[in-house]
Amino acid sequence: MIKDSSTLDVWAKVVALWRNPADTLRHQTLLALQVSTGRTAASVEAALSNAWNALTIESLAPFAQAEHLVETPRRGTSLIIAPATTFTAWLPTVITCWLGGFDCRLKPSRYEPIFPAAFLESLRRVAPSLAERFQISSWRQGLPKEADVVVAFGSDDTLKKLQEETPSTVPFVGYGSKLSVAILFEESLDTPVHQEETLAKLEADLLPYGFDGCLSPQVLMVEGDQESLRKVLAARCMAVPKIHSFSSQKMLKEELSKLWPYVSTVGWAGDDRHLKLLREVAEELRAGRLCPLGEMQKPPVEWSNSADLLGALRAAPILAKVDGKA
Amino acid sequence: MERLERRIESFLRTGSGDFESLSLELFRYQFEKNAAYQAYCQAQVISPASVSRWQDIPAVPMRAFKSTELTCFPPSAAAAIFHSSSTTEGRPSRHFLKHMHFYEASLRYSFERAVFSDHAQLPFYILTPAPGEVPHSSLTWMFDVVMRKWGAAGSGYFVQRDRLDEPRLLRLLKKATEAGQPVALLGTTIAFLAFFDYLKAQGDRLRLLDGSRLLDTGGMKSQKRQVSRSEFLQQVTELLEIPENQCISEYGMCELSSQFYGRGKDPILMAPPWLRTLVMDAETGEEALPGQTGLLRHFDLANVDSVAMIQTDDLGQRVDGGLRLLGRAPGADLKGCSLSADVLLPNA
Repeated sequence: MIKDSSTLDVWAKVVALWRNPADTLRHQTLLALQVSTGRTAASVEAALSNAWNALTIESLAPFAQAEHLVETPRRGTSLIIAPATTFTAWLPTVITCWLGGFDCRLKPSRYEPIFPAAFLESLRRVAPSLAERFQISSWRQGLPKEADVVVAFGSDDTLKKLQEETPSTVPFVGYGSKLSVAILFEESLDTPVHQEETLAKLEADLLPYGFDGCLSPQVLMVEGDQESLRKVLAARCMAVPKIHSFSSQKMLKEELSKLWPYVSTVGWAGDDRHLKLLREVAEELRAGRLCPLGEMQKPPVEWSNSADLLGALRAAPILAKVDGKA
Repeated sequence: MERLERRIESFLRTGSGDFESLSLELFRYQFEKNAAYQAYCQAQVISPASVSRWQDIPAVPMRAFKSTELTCFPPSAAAAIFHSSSTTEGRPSRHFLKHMHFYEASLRYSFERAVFSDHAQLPFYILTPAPGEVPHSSLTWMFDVVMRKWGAAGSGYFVQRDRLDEPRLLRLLKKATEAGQPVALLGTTIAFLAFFDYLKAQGDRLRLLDGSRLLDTGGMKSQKRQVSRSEFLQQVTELLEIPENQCISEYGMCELSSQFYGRGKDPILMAPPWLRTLVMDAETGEEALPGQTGLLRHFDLANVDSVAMIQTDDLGQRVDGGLRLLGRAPGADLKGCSLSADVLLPNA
């Protein structure tokens, strides 16, 4: 049971702000994010919507209960190092840390300073108790040493350097170099109606971040003619992922094996009869998630993306009591 | 605003003006009139009231021009819209210009001093398409302005529908030489290289007359073929007999209204007095130490109706008298924690 539901109650106000299209802070942030990220209004809107829709009370309460997350006693401070491109990626980490008894210190990417500042402002406006538990820090030597848990997003090289600066006693969680792949079975493209449905779902998966971010389908495996699909994508003025054809299960697995061990998510379109094959593919690739096309950018809050954040939070020692309080 | 515009225009025509004061006034104007820029500044808790030095004016990343109409006026009222040649997910950068007179005043001042200080009468042979074919190209617009101002009779364009007309160019260059006429050649580096390949295939070379000059605009960054500046100038000298000191390098971009120029093998790029550059430490985001390599951030007073302070992905150093350009920053296409499929599937 969650003993203290106040964080979730307060969090609900933050979510409501960000899901309200009439909110002025949201509107201004959307404009500012277009400038900082170079992404269109539709992309930024999709990224924000996906992120906040996954973090409602309806999603978080069962998650926190299932994972036995307790906020008290407070366990310390997590340092979260934000990624350069996917500006909402760190949000689930923040709420998870709060629910797990950690305050959060976020070090924004130099390339995207807008969303962290806007998030903090939203906390100040509707959730001052959470604003007290969220700080924005610029990088300085020794910053990881001040944390009780370090969570970092970046390339494998970046994570390696950060881990070298983190004491061995401090749990380190890294979200490193990954990409995602979509598999389109023949029946998903066999009629104009099916083709339109499939392409709309692919567009939804590419809209928030294009090819940036580990969840974006950079590679398409197509059962059948890849050239005609390539032409259709180009005609729709869509950015074209790398496309490979396959005509057998063996061929599909062989092509995908080239992506091992970097696959984050496998999205797919087609009949459910392929599920056994898809589970085998996901297993062999050690992909963290298998989902329908159109849902690739909407991971549930409990999804770990192959990094053990919850384990790290549990491994961090409880703060020694000071004056009888934790 | 009219007074500010007049003062900026005067600066662009004469090279004389109060940069510090004008930069802060322009920031105030752009903050007030450019909604996206205002939102971007406010999100960082920065406003004209909090900025007292031009160096502290917030810089917009170049990628912002790909997604946002960064204007102080309704975009539909633009006199011209310049597009970048590079695209991201099919989108080029777009720079909306309300008037052309700032752009043209800046260009005339700089070009004359960098390329035409002798006011020679030369035909301009331009290795790009004509403006009608590429109406959104700032480069072609630039060449058209200077050709109309300084180009002698016989000036023209030599690229049509992406094809360089090498035979016609060779014929006219030979004719000019026979007539005792030096020439000015202007174009992208890649177009010149194509012409040099043609000359070599023909077994031909030219002895262009003293006073001939060549201006190239780089543009190698997106090309598979990479040629060093030294190798390029060696070909210019061998195949055209234009000496190194008459080879001018131009550094500009569609997001700016002004350009830099330099000469020779290791050009020190010089800017007009209303265009200033900061070199930013790529690690810290702070201004780099003198002589240190960093990412170039430009403030262009001629960008009156868009955004004046632009953060580029170009690497460079400040040196005596100007800048040394060192190419594009590695990893300039941010990937963060996503891995590019190009790495795993290079042949796809």
